[in-house]
Amino acid sequence: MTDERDLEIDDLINNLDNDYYTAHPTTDSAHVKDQKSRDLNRLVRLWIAERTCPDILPYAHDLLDTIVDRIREQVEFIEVNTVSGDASGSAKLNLLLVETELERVKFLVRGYLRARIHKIEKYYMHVVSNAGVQARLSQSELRYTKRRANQLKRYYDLRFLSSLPPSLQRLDDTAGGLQMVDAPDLDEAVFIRVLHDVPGEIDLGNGDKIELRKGNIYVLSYMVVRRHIADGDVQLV
Amino acid sequence: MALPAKQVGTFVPSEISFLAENNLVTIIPRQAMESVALIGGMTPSMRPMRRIEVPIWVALLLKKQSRCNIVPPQWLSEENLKITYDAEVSNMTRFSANLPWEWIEVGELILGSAPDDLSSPPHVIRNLLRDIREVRQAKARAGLKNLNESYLQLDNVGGMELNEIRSFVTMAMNRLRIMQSTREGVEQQEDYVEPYNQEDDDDGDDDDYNLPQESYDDSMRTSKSYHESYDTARLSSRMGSATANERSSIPSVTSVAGTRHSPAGTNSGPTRNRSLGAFQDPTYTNDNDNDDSDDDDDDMQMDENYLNAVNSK
Repeated sequence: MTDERDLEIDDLINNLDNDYYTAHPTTDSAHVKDQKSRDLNRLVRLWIAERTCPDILPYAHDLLDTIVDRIREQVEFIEVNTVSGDASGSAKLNLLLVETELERVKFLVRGYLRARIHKIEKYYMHVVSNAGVQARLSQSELRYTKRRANQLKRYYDLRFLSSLPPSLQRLDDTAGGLQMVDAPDLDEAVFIRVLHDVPGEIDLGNGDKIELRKGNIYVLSYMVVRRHIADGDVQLV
Repeated sequence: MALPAKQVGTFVPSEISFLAENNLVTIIPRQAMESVALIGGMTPSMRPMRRIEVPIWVALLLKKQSRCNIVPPQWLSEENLKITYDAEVSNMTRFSANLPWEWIEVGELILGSAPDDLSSPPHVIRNLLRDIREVRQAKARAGLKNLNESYLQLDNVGGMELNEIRSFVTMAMNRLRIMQSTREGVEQQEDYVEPYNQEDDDDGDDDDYNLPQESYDDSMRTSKSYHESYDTARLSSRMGSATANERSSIPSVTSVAGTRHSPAGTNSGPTRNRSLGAFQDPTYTNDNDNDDSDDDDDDMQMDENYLNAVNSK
C-alpha cells in the first residue's frame, strides 16, 4: 500500500507539468524544449493544481529547490549589474527583463506555497494525525503544522475546554458517526483537461460512464480522475 | 488567512491573465539585443526585422518601449474571427475549436498594448471578440441547465470562461452530490431502523452515539408543544384583548351617553371615538364570543372614527 502510494506521488510530481504545451497550440516552439522553461512551466502547473485540487498534493522538493536557487542567482546578477552601474540602454533593458521575470517567478512560488498553507491550516488536525499526508509536506510545512496544532490545543484548553466535562474535551471526537477532524473531500468537483487518450471508459460510480479523449474538458469528482492525474494523462485546470 | 477567500478554489481574472502572459507570441524586433538569461531560459537574441518568439510579457515590455512590433496570432485576424463567429453561431450546443485556450486573455492583452499592430482597426477586432464572447457565454449558461452531480463536459472552453463559471459549478455540483448521498443514506437507514435502535439500547456506554437521535426527537416534541402553546397563547391574547376592549368601552359608553347623538365631527378625542365605535356595535358589549372578523371590523371602524376626528380638528 505504501509502495503504491509512493509510486503515485512520484508520478504525480514528475507528470504535473506533463506537456503543458501540447495542450497549448499557440506555444509550440523550440524555445519551449529548454529544460529551464520546462521547469518554470512545471511550477505554473503545480500552482494551478494546488489551487484547484481539494487534497494536499506532494511538495515538489526538487523543483522548488532548483527554482529558489535560480531566483538567488538572478538576485545576485541584479545586484552585481546595478552596482557596476554604467547604464547603457541595452544593459538597462536586460535588467528590466530580469527583474520583471524575477517578480513573476517569485509570485508563482509564493502562490504555490500560499495555496498549500491554506489547505494545511484548514486540515491541520487531519495532517497531524495522518502520516501519509505528512509525507507530502515539506520539512518547514510539517514543523509549522505541528507547532500550530500544539498551540491551538493549548489555547483551547486554557480558554474553555478545561471547563467542559472530560467527555467533551476532545478535538478529534468521532462520536455519533460524525468526524470532528476535517479532512479534504476527495469527491469534490474539479476541472480537468485530458492530455492523452485514456483507454476504456471511466466509471463515475453512479452508472454514468465517460471516455477521456485528448482535448476533452470535464468537470467531475477529483476521486474519479486522481489516478489519471498522477499518470499525467489528465491535467487540472 | 494564507489565501484570500476570493482566491480559494478559483482564480481571480488577473491571475488568469498572468498565466496567459507566459504564452509565446511572435514579434518583429526593431533593434538588436543580446539574449538574456532568465529563470525560465534564455530569451532569443534579437536582430531587427527578424521574427522571433518570446513570452507575451516580454513582448509587451518591449512594445511599451517601442522596441518591437507584435505579430498578432492567426486566430486574432478579422477574417478568422468572422469564421469563428459563424462557427459559434451555427452550433449552439458546442464551443468551436478555432480559438486557443487563452483567447480572451491574449486578445485583451494585444488589443490593450499593441492595437497598432493589428491588421484591422482595433474596434473591429474588439467587437468581433465581444460578439464571440457573448455567443459562447450564452452557450455556457445554457449548459448550466444540464448540471448534475456526476459530470459536465466543456470541450474547447477558454481559460477565462472556465474560471468564470468555476466557483458556481463546483459549488453546485458538490451540493448536489451531498444531497444525493444524503438521500441514499436515508433510504438505507430506513431499511435498518430496527437494528439501529437496538444497538443503541444494548450499548450502555454509547450515549454519545445516541445523542443526535434523541435531541432530534426532542426538538420534534418541542416544536409540537411549541405549536400548542403558541395556539393557546394566541387564543388567550385574543380573548384578553377582547375583554380589554370591552372593559374600556363600558365606562366610555356611559361617559358619552349624553352626547351620543352629536355628529362625529364634534367629537374631539380618540377615547371618545373609540367608545363610540364600540357603542355602534350593539352586540359587542354584550357578547363575549366575538370572532375575529367582528373584531377587525370594529378596529377598522375605530380607526376611521379616529381619523375623522383628527381631520376635523
